[in-house]
Amino acid sequence: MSQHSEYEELQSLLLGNNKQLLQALKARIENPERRTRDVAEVLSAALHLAAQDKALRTALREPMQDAIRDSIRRNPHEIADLLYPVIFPAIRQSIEETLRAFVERIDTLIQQRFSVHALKWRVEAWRTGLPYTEVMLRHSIKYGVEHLLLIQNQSGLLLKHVHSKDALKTDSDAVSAMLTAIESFVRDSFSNTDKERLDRITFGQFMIHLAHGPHATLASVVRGLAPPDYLMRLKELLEDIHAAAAIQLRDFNGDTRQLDAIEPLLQRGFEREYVKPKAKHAASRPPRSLIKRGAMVAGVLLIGIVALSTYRHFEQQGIAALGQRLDAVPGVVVENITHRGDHWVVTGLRDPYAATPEQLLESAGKVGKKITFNLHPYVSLDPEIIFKKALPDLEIPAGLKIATESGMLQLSGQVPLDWYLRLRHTLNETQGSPLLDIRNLQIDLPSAERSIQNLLAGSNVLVTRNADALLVTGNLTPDDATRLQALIGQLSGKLSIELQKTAVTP
Amino acid sequence: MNASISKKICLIGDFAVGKTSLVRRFVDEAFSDDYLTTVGVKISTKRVRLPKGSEVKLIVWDIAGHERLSTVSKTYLQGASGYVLVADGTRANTLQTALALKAQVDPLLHEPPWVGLLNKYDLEAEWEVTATQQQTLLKQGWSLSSAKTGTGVEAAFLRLAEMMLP
Ligand SMILES: Nc1nc2c(ncn2[C@@H]2O[C@H](COP(=O)(O)OP(=O)(O)OP(=O)(O)O)[C@@H](O)[C@H]2O)c(=O)[nH]1
Ligand SMILES: [Mg+2]
Repeated sequence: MSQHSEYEELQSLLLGNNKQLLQALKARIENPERRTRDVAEVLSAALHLAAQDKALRTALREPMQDAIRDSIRRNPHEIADLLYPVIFPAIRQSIEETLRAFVERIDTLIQQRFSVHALKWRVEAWRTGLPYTEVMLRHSIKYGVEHLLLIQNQSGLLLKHVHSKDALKTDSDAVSAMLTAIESFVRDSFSNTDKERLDRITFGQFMIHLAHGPHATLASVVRGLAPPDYLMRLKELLEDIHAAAAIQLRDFNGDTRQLDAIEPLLQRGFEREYVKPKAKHAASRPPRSLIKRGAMVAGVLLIGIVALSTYRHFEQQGIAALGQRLDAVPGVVVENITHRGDHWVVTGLRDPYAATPEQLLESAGKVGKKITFNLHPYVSLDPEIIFKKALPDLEIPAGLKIATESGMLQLSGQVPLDWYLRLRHTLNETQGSPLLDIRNLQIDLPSAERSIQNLLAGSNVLVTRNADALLVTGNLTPDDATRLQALIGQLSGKLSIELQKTAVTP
Repeated sequence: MNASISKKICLIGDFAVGKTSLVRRFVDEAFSDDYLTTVGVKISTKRVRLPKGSEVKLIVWDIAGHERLSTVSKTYLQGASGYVLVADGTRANTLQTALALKAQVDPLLHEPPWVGLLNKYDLEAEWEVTATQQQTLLKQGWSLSSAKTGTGVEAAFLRLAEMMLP
């Protein structure tokens, strides 16, 4: 007992007031509530510090994963709502892509239902014994080879490059090197055998197909969806190229002229695979061999198809011609012509001063169906329209040529005398207008001859032509003489009128 | 199709020595102080006309900086007709790396033509590579360059192009 108190005494002697402090600390540690509060105060700082070390991540990984999994299982809707803005656009884009391709294909199929292609495919189906739909689908896959690049293995140097006329321009040397780098990268990163190769890369609407050979790789940049056996055909082409020039491929030193010999080979493969993405007018013209084959196959059905497709063909041509004719009308721009019900709808632009829809109908000619116009007003800069706006009261005579140059309307050509006089009258008898250049305008002699003869009807005169001048002979009344004098003055420089053996008699 | 000759060259050197900057200076005549490390490889092309009159298209492979050659970078090197070895004058250890890389590359490519560049010469005041070291290196096929000011850049690429053309 005394020993104990001795010890306590010693303790208080040594530690003084600290004894109370220790007790307070002890209480604090033993009280879980206090302890929690203490830890909470430093928790975020501690986590921050610990996060610099990998151990925390490792320690947290599993419980976190479990917690997330649990949370998703319990409350999937909340998670779905959170992810919605991220995932939905991606899904939508993917659906749109798929639908677009689908619609495009259906579109072609419908377009070609009655085309000469259909006839060709019926023949092919009949010849091969395949179902018609299969033949049709196989031919309707739309794709076009844009570039073919022959690339030396390893170095990635471009050996030869051919491309379609409308292909996008690229730095083919860089593309070729980059494709090689990508190929090496993928192979070294994901595969440990040399047998696995990268053979397709998709990018937007392009797919790059890669055929690998011992010395070179053939890359084909395809727009659209190529048929499944396309890569196989590409490989065959590459084999042919190797057969023709294996040594040159291997020992290539950067001089592409060494490989000019294989260009036709590549070009041929290129052209063979190229399918025009949009079948336009030219594509619907039946190839000659087909006509022969078509002639061999008799039958009401086929004749029906031929008749229909021919009709379609002419109709298409008629519409194209209609578009061209209307587009040629000054102040009218045709954007497209669509088929709606039993008539054609012409959509486009029309200047208010251009021909009226009624006039357009006349110039449209016969197209078999009714035409309706859906033309929005716009301001045309066509010289003829500008002329109409400047001089709305004057019609445009046949021989008149109108052009615009540096803000001026330039008139030239041969015009009737009466018209010329009216023009001058409209221009207020001035020598011309600041916006109108009539220096090159000429007066049509026969019309002038007639007009002057009429003008001087009250006199006994004869008007004749002499080279590029008019001759007036006979007796003039004083009135006519004055009128003629005025006219000669007006026409000075444009037309010379000579008086010969004329006398003025009252 | 005037330059029908094309040659592949590679840029090799330690991290951040200025390989990408040198290519950018040579190809686009531009420079940026930002450092964006190259991942994998970046390819650029440039047509050059040599003093002798011939033209060549350089296909430049700017390979990510490494202290040692990785398998992938070895694949990237294949078929190169020459290379540019780059060290950073402000960090002497990058010169050691460059020499080690050279020892790996030369047997791989059968001792191709090369040029060495001691880069960042505009920071000469901060250089660790000493004047005496520079003297020795200049005699061994190295030259001084700055991607920032353009000093010595085009000349080095042209020199390499001349060496590669037979
Ligand atoms: N002052 C100066 N800075 C330079 C020069 N060349 C490069 N730099 C700078 O150095 C840093 C690295 O340059 P990069 O060209 O990216 O280096 P790199 O060798 O391509 O680096 P990695 O791709 O990582 O291997 C960048 O911040 C550049 O701006 C130079 O000549 N002078
Ligand atoms: Mg870089």
